[in-house]
Amino acid sequence: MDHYSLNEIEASARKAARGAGMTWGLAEEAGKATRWLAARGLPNVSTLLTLLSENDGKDYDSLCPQNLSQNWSASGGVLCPVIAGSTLNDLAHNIVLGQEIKLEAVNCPALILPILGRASKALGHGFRISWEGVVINILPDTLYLETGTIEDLGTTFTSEVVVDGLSSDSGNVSGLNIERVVKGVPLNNQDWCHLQTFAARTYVPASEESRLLGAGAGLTDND
Amino acid sequence: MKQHVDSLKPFPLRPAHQVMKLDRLGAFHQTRLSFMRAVMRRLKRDSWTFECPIWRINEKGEGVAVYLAKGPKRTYSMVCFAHDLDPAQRSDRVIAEAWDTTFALHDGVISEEDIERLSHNVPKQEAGRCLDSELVLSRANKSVRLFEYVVDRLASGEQPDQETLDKVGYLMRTTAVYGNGKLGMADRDRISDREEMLGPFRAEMLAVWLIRTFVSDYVEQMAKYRSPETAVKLDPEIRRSLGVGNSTGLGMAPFLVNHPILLHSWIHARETALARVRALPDMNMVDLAHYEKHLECAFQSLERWHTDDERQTGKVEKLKADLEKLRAKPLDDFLGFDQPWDAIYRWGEAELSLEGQEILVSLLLEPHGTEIDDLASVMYAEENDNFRIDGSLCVSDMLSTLEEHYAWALDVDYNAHPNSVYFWYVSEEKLEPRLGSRADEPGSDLEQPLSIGRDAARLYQDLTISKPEETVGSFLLRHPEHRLLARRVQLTQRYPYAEIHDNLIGEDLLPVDLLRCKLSFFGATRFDPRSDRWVRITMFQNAPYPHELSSMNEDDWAYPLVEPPEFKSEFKPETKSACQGES
Repeated sequence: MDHYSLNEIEASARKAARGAGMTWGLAEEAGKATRWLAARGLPNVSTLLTLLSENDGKDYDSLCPQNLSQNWSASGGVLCPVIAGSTLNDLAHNIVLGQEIKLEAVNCPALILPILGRASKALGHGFRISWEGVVINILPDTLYLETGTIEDLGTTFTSEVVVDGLSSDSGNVSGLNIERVVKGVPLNNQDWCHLQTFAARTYVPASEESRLLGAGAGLTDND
Repeated sequence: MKQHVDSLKPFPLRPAHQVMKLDRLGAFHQTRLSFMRAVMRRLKRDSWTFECPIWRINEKGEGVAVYLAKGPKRTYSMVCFAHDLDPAQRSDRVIAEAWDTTFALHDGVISEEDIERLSHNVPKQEAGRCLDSELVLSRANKSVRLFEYVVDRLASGEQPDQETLDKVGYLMRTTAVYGNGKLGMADRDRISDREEMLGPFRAEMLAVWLIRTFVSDYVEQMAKYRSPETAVKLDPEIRRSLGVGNSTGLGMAPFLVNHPILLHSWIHARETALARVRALPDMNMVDLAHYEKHLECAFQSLERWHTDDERQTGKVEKLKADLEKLRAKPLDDFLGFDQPWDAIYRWGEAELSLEGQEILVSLLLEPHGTEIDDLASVMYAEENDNFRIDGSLCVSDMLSTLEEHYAWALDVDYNAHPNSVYFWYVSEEKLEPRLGSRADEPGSDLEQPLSIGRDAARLYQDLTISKPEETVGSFLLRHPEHRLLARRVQLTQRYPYAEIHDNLIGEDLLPVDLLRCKLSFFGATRFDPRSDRWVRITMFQNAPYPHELSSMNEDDWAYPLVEPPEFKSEFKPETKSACQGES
């Protein structure tokens, strides 16, 4: 099993998400989210791959929240966690003000955590996110797994995710403290290749013209 | 006495709409904040020592050498592999499968086991893997004719001719210097809190400096093998005139666009440095002499700036005329001003070409290490902490930000062919960024998001037909295609130098300008464009070698030194050499 840097994981995840049909802005979210999970030893590339395979070929409109009321659901039946997570981030000020949001049917919910983690850091406010068998408290610099195991975070589908704000007093927060560590991340070869297959969809095949002109070189180097 | 910066009235920075034009960015020169120079200052200040405990290079020029760089807290190992390369395999491009030499910078004192591991991976470069104990991976090819010439001369007991060397400036050139997590190496986050790594590309610059050392040792060794009886070493001054070449193509061009906060922090540091100098209320004699000396050095260094590129030749000619003008201008003319350094700057802005104005910026910074060198270590940016979009703002807020910071982009008709001639893409064959012609080549549906101006205009268009009070969060739910630009717009509000104020897909685009800007921050000199999208440069030319660092000035090598000029100002310096660094 080779080890990969966080930068490699983020760059490939971003390209793969784009290759699987996300807009560039959402693909950036997916890349950063995968990096964030990897840096904490949580299920990362495998989770993203499950999502990309699920979403492959589906329209954005079938995967996004249909409206921004308290209960979010997708017209296609299952929400994409990158879209829903990004929207939660964008509207995080409402959650801070006390609004609880329920997401109905979500694939790979762990991908929401990093996006809310960033929101928590930026706003200086905590969030609680839960789904079947899992409760997580996200504070500006810390992640606590209150209920469930790290393996549970790799779940590929859950019927409901609930997100609400935590009071600024984090003294009540408990659970397994999940810390960030920067080191090589082990990935199995199959997952890495699968990620590259999605990423490769963003590449343009070479033509004779592009070979000659694309890089602007073509001169000899033996001088 | 140096002025204490904090006691001075803040001077306004040059605005983004002036600085961030591509033609100006493409006229930047190295400054004392450039990374190569900052690395040298740090190594000298902390009394780093260097040794070469392993040298196993055979008569064919193959083998391995290791250099150790020892600092107060840590040691780094530069592992150098030399290969006997078939000339047919030698390519200047980033894409190749074999090189004359390959390198890795290893974190710590390397073991024989790790050398063995690296020997199976480093020579393969992209086709190999590193671990997070490696920080930098690189490779270099000989400048064949010059390398052979130098081996030949040294073997016969003669020094190479300086003029012949000056035409190239290096014996080997790198075609890539990878760091920050590439190919399994350590992420920058892993080392970013180390003192010697404060500031960008520190590990990479250290590696390149040690590559230069290896190359000079290597050429001397090859001469010795060729003729053990007669061979001599390079004369130290001739040796010092050799830098490391680098050949950089489009692969580097998107970097500045893809790292907007980093770009801001580099430019902001440089502009802050200039503003601090312009704010100074007087010119003391030592600083004045220092400035004049560097002006003279810069002028004379133009003689060593060789390029076949027509556009660059024209720019260098103009620069020569600019520096002649600057030398002819009596500095006494500026002494009466409240802020004499500012007066020089303003004179330059009115009188000089962009190349001239920007080299003047470098020269104005030169004597003022005490006031500005602290900025060199704050030129890094945490992109992750600034990634978040604030969706609570309204459509109307974003419209005004666009109008304020993206005016350069909004009036362009991107449907008109000249304004969207190009598209950026990643080539499947080479996995490298490329520039394609939208009309003539397939693949524009796979365009990379570097068309910032056009996409800002599209975002603006969709915002204008939305309700002004709608939140950005709700807008982006409806328009996910604008998410990338919306993020940039919010960033640019906080980091005004984050965006290049030019159309990166228009027919006037010269990608070399992007390369030049980045490379100037590295500290490169002798920009030699080989086309509009490929440039050769020289790094660390005239810098001390590791064994010379403790006894030489670490900071006066950016331009070749000349005899003291005839000082034109009425205040004659009383000090010895005006070029002695003070930081």
